[in-house]
Amino acid sequence: MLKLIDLRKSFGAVKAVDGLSLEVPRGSVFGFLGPNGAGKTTTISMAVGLLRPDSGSVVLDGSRNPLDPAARSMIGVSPQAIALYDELTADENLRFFAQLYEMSRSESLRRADEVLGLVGLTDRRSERVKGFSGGMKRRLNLAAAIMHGPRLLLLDEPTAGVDPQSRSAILEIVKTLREQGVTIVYTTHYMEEAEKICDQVAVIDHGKLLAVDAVEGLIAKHGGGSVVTFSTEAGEQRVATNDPVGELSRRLTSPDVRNVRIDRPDLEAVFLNLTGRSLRD
Amino acid sequence: MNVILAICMKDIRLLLRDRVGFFFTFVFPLLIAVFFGSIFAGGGGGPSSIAVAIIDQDQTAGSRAFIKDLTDGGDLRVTPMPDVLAAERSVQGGEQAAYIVVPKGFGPARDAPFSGTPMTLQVVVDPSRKAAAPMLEGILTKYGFMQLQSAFSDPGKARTMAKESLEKIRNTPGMDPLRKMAFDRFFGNLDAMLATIPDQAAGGAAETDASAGKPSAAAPRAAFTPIKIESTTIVKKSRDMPPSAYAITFPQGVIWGVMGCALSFAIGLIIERSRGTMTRLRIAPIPAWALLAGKGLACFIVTVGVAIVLIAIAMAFFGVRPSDPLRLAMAIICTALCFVGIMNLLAALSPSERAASGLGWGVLLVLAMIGGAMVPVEFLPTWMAPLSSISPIRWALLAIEAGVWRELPMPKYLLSCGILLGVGAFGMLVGIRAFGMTESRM
Repeated sequence: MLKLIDLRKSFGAVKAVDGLSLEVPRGSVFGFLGPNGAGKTTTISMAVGLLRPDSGSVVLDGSRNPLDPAARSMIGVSPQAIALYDELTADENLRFFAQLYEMSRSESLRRADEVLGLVGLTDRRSERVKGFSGGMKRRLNLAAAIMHGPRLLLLDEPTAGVDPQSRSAILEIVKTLREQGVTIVYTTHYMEEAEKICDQVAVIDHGKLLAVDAVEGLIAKHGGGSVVTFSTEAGEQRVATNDPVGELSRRLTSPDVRNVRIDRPDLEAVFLNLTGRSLRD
Repeated sequence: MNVILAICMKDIRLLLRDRVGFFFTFVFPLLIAVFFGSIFAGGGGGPSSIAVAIIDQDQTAGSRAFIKDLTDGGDLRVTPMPDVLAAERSVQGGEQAAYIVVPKGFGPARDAPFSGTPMTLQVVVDPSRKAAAPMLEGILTKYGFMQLQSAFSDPGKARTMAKESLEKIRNTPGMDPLRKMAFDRFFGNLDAMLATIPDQAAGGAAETDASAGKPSAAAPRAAFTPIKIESTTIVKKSRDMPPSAYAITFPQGVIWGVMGCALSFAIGLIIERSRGTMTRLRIAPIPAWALLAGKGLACFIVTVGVAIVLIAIAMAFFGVRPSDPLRLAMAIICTALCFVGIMNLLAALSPSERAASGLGWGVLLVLAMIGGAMVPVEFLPTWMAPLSSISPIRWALLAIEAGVWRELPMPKYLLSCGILLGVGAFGMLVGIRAFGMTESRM
């Protein structure tokens, strides 16, 4: 659905994206994992035609170029910032964005009903956005991105700064959209989210693609072993192993062991192993 | 086209819902126009502030006595003028609210109030000060009664006046004999009554306010009017001078409105950039020029709307009559296009809302100051006059005034409109170029 081929983009001396290539399969949720400043947003901006790459190319849906405005009608974007008009109501915001895609009045009304229902804001449709909570604004931000029924949806930190309830609701919406066949590129620095909903995850840092695979594959390849922690009277003892069950059965015979904890590797460990630093640094 | 209209309507809706923006676009210019207009028009005071010119064409003792009463009375600021032309110029120049002509025959009519020929005054009022007209008529009527009262305060004079009036009635051919008989009886009785009143010189009290020579508080309320006032508005012959202060301040108000509008939309465009809505707009399958066209159309419509509302208020309530509506319409359109360009230019040059606000007011205030939107260019120091030509506001005012009152030769009018269109085109081109060059990241 989306193919990035050797993309490069610099801002002055800073290489924001440095030879990045990847392919997002149709109908999948593709996670983009990286710390702030890793080049995620620049990559997405080039993917939707907002930025012209210094070199390399972006291919949409087999052969289309996002720099062509007509090709962009298949893309929906939910920017990291709340890109809504505070003085307009939820309904007015959605119908305005629908007009940008030449949707008819009746079509935009029908679609506004649908998406407001999907994001759980039907009963707030006539209220101005300035009175909404952060979570409601985030959900409406997402609703505006899907108003015109895009086939490729780019979500840039869609859960930034929201309460757990809204976060959970947004993740459910993403799953529903995937079930409807929408291809989703999901940018985040929350590993739990990526683990929960992404079919594939790309890890990038300093504008370079470090690894791309399914979550389990990444963990298997780059997560390292599990860590088994034994608590004894003498203190804690941590053992890294690829066979935690075997290690456990061997040590539990000792009478000193009072407590045991097994830590499986996760995306944080993957990132740490790939970059040498924590995702939240 | 639908997209352009959608962006335009959205921007207008946002402006109307933004109270601060709405105030500076619609209300502030109106306050400026009315406030300064009333200050320069001298309309802020009561009747005592009504300035009138007076022309004595009768040159009799009666007309001179009337003018003296009017001048001494203090209800009006009376300036004697040698002729109608001078008085007319003075009203057209805004120095006087009206002029009064005391025509030939005033004195004899004053001396014979019951002869059937009342004292007549011709009053010509500045149409922009219509509110002063009824007040002026009331004051003149009061002084008309005062003439009658002064006649009655001197019994000797009143007897002569009664006898003369009776003589005239008796000699009027074709009058109903019964009416003649009634007047005969009335004036006979009046004469007998006046004969019983001691002479004023002998200490008789006159019912006038001795301190100011004004009539007493119990002003006469007769069924007849001793004075006839023929009131008209002035005919504007010369367009070299504004007919009133409002004819100057309302075009200035239009400029303030237009500036507020341009700034509001420029800041709106920057807000779109900083808050991310521009990202959505640019991702939509529409060309960049359509985005700017939508915003430009909104700015144009609101600017023209502000100008129309202000001019309509000036016409409805402040007596401003556009001398050339076609020129005015054309000037407003050119001004609006000019400021659409300035809006684009400001948005292109400003990296943030704060910068736009600072740059906008900083630049626009200087342009307004040297362009005549604060003080008319004619009142600026002479060294500043050539400087004003660099301000598009100067040309906008000139073009608008050409539609309201100014007699501007066609080539100069066209030059003004051309400069406005040129500035607008330059701003739009720079704006489009800057917009196209600005790559946005989400």
